[in-house]
Amino acid sequence: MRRGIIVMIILMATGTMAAAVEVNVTTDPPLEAANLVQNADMEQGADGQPAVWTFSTAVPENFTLGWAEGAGRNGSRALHMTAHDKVMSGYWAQKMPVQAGDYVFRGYYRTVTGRLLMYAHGTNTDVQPAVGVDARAFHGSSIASFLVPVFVPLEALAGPDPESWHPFSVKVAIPEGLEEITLSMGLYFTPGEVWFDDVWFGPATVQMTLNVSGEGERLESVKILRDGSATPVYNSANDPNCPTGQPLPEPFKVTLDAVASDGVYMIEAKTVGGELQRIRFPEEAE
Amino acid sequence: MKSAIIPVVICMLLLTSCTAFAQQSLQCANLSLRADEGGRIEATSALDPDLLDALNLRLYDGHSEEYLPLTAESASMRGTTLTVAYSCPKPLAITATFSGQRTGLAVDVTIANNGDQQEWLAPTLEAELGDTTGLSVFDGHTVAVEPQERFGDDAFMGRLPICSAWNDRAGIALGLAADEIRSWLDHSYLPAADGRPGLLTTLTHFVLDPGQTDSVGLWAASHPGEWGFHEALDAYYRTYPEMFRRDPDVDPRVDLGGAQYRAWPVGSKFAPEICRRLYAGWEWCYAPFRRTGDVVGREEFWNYQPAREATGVRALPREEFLQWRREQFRAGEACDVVMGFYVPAQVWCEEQLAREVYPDALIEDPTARTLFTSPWVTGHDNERLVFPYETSFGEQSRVDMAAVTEELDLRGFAFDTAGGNGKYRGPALPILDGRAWDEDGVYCRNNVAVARLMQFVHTLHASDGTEVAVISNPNPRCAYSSVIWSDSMMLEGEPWKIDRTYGDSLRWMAGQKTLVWWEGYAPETFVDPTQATDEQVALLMRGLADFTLLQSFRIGYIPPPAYTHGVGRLVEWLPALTECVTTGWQPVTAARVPEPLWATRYGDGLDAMIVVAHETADEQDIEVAIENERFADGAVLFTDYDGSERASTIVGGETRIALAVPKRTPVLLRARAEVLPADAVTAATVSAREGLTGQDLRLQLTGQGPATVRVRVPDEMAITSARYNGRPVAVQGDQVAPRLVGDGELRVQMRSETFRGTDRALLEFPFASEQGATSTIFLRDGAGEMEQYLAGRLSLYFDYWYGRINGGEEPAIPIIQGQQPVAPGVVIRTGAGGSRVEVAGGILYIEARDDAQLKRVFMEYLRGLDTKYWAPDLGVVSTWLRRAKGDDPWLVWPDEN
Repeated sequence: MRRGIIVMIILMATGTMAAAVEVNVTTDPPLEAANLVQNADMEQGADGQPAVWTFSTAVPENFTLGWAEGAGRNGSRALHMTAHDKVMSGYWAQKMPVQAGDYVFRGYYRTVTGRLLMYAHGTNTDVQPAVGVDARAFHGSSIASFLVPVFVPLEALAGPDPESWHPFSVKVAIPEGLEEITLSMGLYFTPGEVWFDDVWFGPATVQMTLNVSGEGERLESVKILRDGSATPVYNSANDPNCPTGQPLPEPFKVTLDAVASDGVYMIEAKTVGGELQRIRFPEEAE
Repeated sequence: MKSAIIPVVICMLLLTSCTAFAQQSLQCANLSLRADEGGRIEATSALDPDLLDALNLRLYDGHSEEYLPLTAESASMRGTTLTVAYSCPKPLAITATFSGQRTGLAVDVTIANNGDQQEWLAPTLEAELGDTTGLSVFDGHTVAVEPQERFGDDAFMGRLPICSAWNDRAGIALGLAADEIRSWLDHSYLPAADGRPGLLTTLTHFVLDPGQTDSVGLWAASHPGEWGFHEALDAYYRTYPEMFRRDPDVDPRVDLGGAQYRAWPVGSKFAPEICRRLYAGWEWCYAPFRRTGDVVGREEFWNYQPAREATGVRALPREEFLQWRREQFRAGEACDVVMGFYVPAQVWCEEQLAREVYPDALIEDPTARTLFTSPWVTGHDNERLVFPYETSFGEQSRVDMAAVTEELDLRGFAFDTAGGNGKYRGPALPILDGRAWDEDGVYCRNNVAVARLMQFVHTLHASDGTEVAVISNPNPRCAYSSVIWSDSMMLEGEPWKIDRTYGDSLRWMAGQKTLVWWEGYAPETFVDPTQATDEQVALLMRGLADFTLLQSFRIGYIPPPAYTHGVGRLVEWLPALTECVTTGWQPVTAARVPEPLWATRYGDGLDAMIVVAHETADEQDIEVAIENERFADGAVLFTDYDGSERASTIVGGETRIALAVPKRTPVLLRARAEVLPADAVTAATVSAREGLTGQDLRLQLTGQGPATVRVRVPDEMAITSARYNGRPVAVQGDQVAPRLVGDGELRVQMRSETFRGTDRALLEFPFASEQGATSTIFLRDGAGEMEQYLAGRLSLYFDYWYGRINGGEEPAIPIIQGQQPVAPGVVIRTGAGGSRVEVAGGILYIEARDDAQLKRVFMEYLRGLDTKYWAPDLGVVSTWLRRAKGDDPWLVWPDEN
């Protein structure tokens, strides 16, 4: 799995000729290197147990855990759990050292049903005043069986496609004095089933550099759009280094400071010939 | 502790010897007591002589972990009180008095420690059971059917202070007197074994220092068996009725629902109208202070370094903040709601303040969360768990709460986190009452502090003398005492939180006090709104609204604006639902319906309303059998809530009604009349047509002989005529006395003494139109504050209707003082000879003797106007629905046609 660099060679059919656009995205620090999570892709482990990750709950018998082959998102394995009842929550978790600053905890889940809680938490009571963090994201569904189907038709609860992986993201502000936190992912007081994979915890922003080459075709414009936002993160049309009405410099390079590391970005490159090419970052790099 | 008690209970006998003992007996309610020559208190239930053999007082010693042998030294009767004095091997003076208290037996136990050691004692009331065949047991939280081994939870939180064991004929209930404030209680049941009878016990803890005396009120009752432990609840409520209604001296608006931030802060000029239409009577004025623990905003505590940067109004300079607060409270009060000044039950205090100023109040309890380092009460503070009773913080809290009451003329405090969790073992412990012990020694639970603070609040008064109320957020896993000392409560959750019965135990604790749901629909917790279609969201909202409707009726909660605002279906039901909840949930339904239907009753006698519903996908045709004798004297006759006709038969004193109960919609029956004797009537079909000015009640009766028919006469009305088969019948107060001759019609007409003329004249008065004001409001010269306020509310009513709801110009009906009224005009005035709402000579008179009456009839009149100018208002939910349903925002569901 590669997170730091994406290189896309996109073949464009223009009549009988084939041209290519090369898009190269790097971040500083590289996303993979900045990831503080150990065994983030869940591939390491032995004896049926994933390395580093532990499971915690007050009612162990409520859960069945798994780390099966073939269930992973990009690789082979993923963390798996089934909660049989709503009586207690349970979480896959790992601890890690942190420093004060803004972080992002993100990753992917696939779920059949159940309310998911992903959270970063920790407290240091050895300092005065005590400091702590408890940043949460709920996903999935709290499908309450007693509401279905008389009050809530199942079709109204069509939630995340159980066959697909879905991203989650939690912003985490680590205060001064807090030196260790725990990342937890699990089911929150609902029966359900969920897999987790490709988890990332690191700085909330990174520097992003984009290199685009038309490979013979002149580029008219480049945009970087973040999912969920209509305003481009970058638009060459607004870049004073890109004179209006002229093709972009070749090779084209732009560096953006403080790009949110929990974003999913669409990079659009348009050639003078009118071909529009899109790639997603970081998804299409993983 | 439990494991130590069990073997002792099994082997000990009570009152093993007796000296100077005179045989005495006592009769109270369904129980007969007799102190026999051996000192044993024989007890018998009149409802099932085989159920109960004895009621014993026992005394557990927490140091030796054994029950102490008690010797009855004497027994005496004074009046209707039986007093028994006991001795034991320890230097303790022990007396128990047994006396009847309404439907129960009060057992008051007093123990004096005459020794020189601290004593840990558990006074225990034990029911010695006879025939335990088919017994079910309620341990204060859950029910066990025919338990074959020891049954009883080992938890305090979330547990009622009573327990019960019953068969289908009768039951015996034990517990604490409802006003007891204790850190610990326990109930358990032991089935009969090895020659030992079945035992039901209830106990609490005494921690007695040398020379100290403590008394506890215990309670017992024998009750019918049909409705299980709900019968025990019924007996308990009827023994201590004042503990299960709000305090009669607090503002009655706390009986209504919460405004849920429509009045805190006031975000719309129409907030008063929105609150009124959504039956909101109080507001949860969240954290109106800068620093948790300093509710006043004292200068000496103002400047500090919070854990996180203060934002919003809490970042204002002190004087600006206090001014902002005064203005917000004033604005909210104009919405006609009790502004509940939020405090976190004073169990949370900003950490530095707690450690530096109130260190004696800190709670150190490894089993409870004692510190929040993430945003909590104010968002910028770290908050520390403290004990607000007999500590420096407790004293300061009382001073501060009195100060803000005076400053803001408060009528209520909103107690958040009122559950009472956490064990205090700090320096104030020796002087505390209600102490208990555990494996770590003596403690006092925070519920004692919370209850004492709630009691203190009830000693405060607003400027008009109204007692200050407590509106609280306990939660079903709270200490019982937090509910007992509250006037009105929320459950911080939805009707579907955890499961459909999560809120039930809070209702059992609350009795007939108001409960409301909180939170809201939060469709994002069910579906991802970015992925779900609008239609899916609308289907979800419909289902949640319907479920809210049914559960609100089932267990007596009022849905606040997050559920009702913009949801026509719920707004339509709100008047009935609010009337039910404020009339009072009754644990004994006394209405039998076949499964899967359920029934709930509110009110007794002619106040009774019975709701029948089910949660299945198909309409259900059933018969409800109503046991009239459980809540009335005669045969009670019902219509639908709106007066629609219902036919019933009366068989064996029961009213039986055939119902077709639709899906996702309740049937609500309202008592209209009661026939005495019950067997004078065998069938009845009743309907009522009611309005502001009068009511026409028609009863098609089948029966024979003289009968007395008590009629439900609404407030403001009186019976003006009664005819049976067209002939006048004698009327006396609310009763008429026909002689029934087979089939016949009794017609009773009532007129309002306040709302005069016709409904049409009152409702069609030309206040305004789309073109603007068509009337003027006239006030007398020097009109008082209330007259001016109500005039403003009337003008606002039509601004709301034509402006907010219809999207047109606001008519702004002019208000004039000191001029002779001209038609069409509205006169609003106090100082009249009596209450009157009447149109005469083109002028609508709304007048009363004093401000309070004027406001009451005015608001009642607005309710009447609502029937013409009805709207569920707008709101977030309707935005969801409008998104899904286009121009049909009031929720017409796709599959209902």
